[in-house]
Amino acid sequence: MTFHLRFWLNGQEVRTEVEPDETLLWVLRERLNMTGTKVGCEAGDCGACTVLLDGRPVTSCLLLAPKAHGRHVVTIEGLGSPAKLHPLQQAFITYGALQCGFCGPGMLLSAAALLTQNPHPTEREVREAIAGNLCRCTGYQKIVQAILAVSRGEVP
Amino acid sequence: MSFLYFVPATVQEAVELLSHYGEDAKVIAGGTDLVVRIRDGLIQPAALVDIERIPELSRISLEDSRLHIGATATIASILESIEVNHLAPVVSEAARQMGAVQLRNRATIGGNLASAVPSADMAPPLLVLEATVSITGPSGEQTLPIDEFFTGPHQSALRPDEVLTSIEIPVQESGTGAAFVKFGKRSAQVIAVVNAAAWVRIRKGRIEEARIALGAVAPTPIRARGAEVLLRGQEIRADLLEDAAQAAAMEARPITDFRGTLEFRRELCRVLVRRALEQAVQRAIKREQE
Amino acid sequence: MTVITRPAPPPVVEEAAEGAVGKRKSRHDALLQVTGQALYGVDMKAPGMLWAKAVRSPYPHARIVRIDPTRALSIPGVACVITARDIPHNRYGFTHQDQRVLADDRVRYVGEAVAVVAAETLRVATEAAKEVVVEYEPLPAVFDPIEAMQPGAPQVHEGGNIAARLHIRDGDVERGFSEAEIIVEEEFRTPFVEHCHLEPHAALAIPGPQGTLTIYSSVQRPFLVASDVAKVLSMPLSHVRVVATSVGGGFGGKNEMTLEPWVGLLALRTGRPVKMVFTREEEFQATTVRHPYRMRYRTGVRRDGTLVARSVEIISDCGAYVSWGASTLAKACIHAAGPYVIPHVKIEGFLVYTNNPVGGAMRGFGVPQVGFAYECHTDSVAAAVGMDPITFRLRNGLRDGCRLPTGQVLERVTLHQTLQRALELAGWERGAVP
Ligand SMILES: Cc1cc2nc3c(=O)[nH]c(=O)nc-3n(C[C@H](O)[C@H](O)[C@H](O)COP(=O)(O)OP(=O)(O)OC[C@H]3O[C@@H](n4cnc5c(N)ncnc54)[C@H](O)[C@@H]3O)c2cc1C
Ligand code: FES
Ligand code: FES
Repeated sequence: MTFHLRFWLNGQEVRTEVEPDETLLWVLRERLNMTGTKVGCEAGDCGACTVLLDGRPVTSCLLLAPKAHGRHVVTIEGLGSPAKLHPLQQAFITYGALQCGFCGPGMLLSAAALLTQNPHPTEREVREAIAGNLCRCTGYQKIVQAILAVSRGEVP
Repeated sequence: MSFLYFVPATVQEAVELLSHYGEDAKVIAGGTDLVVRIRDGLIQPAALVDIERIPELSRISLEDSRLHIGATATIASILESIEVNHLAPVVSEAARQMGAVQLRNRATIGGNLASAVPSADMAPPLLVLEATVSITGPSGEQTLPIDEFFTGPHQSALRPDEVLTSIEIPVQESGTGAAFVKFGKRSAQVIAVVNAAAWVRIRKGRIEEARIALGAVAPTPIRARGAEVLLRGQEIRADLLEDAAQAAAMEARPITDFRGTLEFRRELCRVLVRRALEQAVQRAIKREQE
Repeated sequence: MTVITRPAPPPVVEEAAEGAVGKRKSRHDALLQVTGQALYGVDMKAPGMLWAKAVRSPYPHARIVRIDPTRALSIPGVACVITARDIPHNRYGFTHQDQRVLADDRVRYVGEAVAVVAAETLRVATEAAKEVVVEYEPLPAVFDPIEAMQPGAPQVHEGGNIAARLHIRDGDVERGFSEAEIIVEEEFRTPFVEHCHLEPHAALAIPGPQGTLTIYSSVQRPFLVASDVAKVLSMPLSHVRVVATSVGGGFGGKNEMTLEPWVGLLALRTGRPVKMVFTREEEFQATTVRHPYRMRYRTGVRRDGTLVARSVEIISDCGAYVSWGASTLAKACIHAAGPYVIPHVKIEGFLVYTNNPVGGAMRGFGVPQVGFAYECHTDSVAAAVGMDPITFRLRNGLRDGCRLPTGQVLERVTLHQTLQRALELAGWERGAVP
């Protein structure tokens, strides 16, 4: 059975045929060649595959593609570009918030959703917002600092 | 190994699809449990019936002094609901401790109950609030007390052709209080080693009625009725709460697995039930004074 | 078909000349990372690419009676199945050439690969891997290194389960213990640890002209992998190019060859690019782990707190193959006495084969295990002589000019300054209980 999937990806309408057992993660990475969204566990545990679905962070590895039908999806490619970085992206660079960088796309999207909903979070709220994004390299400290810096408008 | 995928617009349509495909069909709500189980090869459904686009199933509202939570209300929408926060704060308390942001945005309360795992975090609060669940099948709708819902690990009163449509919670009178506590290996994104909820109604320093529920210590979430009896009609004292906690721990039937040993779980029951009772009593006293 | 341009090397020399030390510098690839444009192993693709999937052993120890890929090969979309028979030189390893690219006569741990399937899609490869028939004859297995050292234990390899034995001797440890006034003896154990780098192992092999091969891999040591791939596939080294992609975490877990020879050989056989990504389950089950250690510490000390003798026995659970086991054990033995002045030292290390997951390199390379043991032990020894653990360490800590049990003479030792600074930062009061 093919499912005719239609959704908005980073503001642009996408139409593609999928098998209903494909996840949004698979559709993004393999059908649409958008590899910015990462894959770490395919079980909802690591958060590397986080995207925004109608503005909310979700793990795209647990989202069957038909669930995205008619909805808005934002991936790391839609957050900012090298020419026009989102303040969080700039802050992650400035604060050295990433080492291997593999958790970065998901982490940045979780952080972006937090700041949209709650522009001035406490440190605890920041840590709760990224609790579903594992980072094996950094120990989180600089990630939290970078997000808080953006919330205080301190990023160049 | 793919499956058919249906997106019905009404509960009626969903039930028809389920009746047609029988055992081979599965309801999918948030999919956070189901997709993992399919991927692990634990189940191989031939058809999925996606109930998330049935508008009335996600409604949260107050109806005739009962709080109505639709089965596909997400954990996030429960957390954001002023009604739930106000009228059943213990439900919000449990919701806050589920998974992490991404999971709460997708997981539904109905999926949590229907997955019928002993550790389901939404079960203990609903058990102590004596919620009811509404189920629709080919022969119509029926309502069950929640403690008749769970029948075994991954087994519930739901038949393959039925949909859990909503949960109803009686609005709480003054002098009542409830609490939920969970122990996991970290504070987010964990399945409980043990979870517990307590509810009390007090009047003038006496516990008129108490309810205790435990998760992850038996084949289903359970009520600790023996411990509840110990508390009934008694004056509130610290040693009474401790005695009840110990009794609850003895009612538990935990097993040893990779999350914890039988002994550890039993000890956790005692500690968590005491903490839940203490908090429930404090909250009840506060509400009595309001 | 695929044009590969070599990226310009980063201007390391200029940066150093500007004086990079002591300044905040952002990573040269930070911009690519935050925009999702960095390409990791899992992101690599090539036109016409096949997907590979491994067939893995469900047994910890078994004889392979028969492998029959016929059914898998008959599935539409399956391009190739390889087994041990297809590997020209099926042995590799750093210190011990005991590891197989694909299991031949026996499997020695759960998850050991016996065959690899390449197919048009990941879905077909996964289904086909289940259809490769492997007949096993289970053998008794051993999971405890102490049991494995006993006579009559199941033999993981011919030639006994003790894969390596190391000694370090300094002074006369018997005399040292006879001079001691108090002797403290303790055992410490550490568990398996999986690296759990967020990016799984992933590689893409692309066949080139004249039997050459380019392999993009999420790997920490591309040159080591290139030479190992060349060796096991019996190819000239000049025919194998391994390109390290951005690596989504390694921590030692991507310090050696894993899936590269499989995708490499499949690419050569099919003439098409072949990609493979491990699942998280495969990461836990079939890739290397930190070795669990059992460490017996015995220390002689005088009542005034002077250390006089220490003997250490380390038993490292090697798992099914040596990999970095002997190297990590050597490093552990060198560090095992701890950063303390001890005149008489005896250290003995055993590397023991079991049917557990293969131990490899991981952050600290054997030292975290002994570090945990000797620091816990130091607290116990300090307590036994009634000294606070800090005073005890300051008194016995290594200084400039001290000689290690290996004979190395140390220069520029900053142990005392480091400890002092740590105490300041921690607000430690002398005499406080740790
Ligand atoms: C990373 C991660 C973290 C998790 N953390 C927690 C946690 O902290 N606490 C916890 O309790 N659980 C946790 N879970 C388990 C799971 O996410 C929850 O149980 C969740 O509430 C399931 O809801 P869902 O809507 O996603 O269910 P689904 O996956 O859609 O469905 C689950 C099961 O219920 C059936 N079903 C769903 N809705 C209905 C309905 N209305 N009528 C009939 N049948 C139905 C489905 O057929 C399926 O068998 C976690 C899971 C993951 C992957
Ligand atoms: S890949 Fe989706 S949560 Fe890990
Ligand atoms: S930077 Fe490597 S996982 Fe976060």
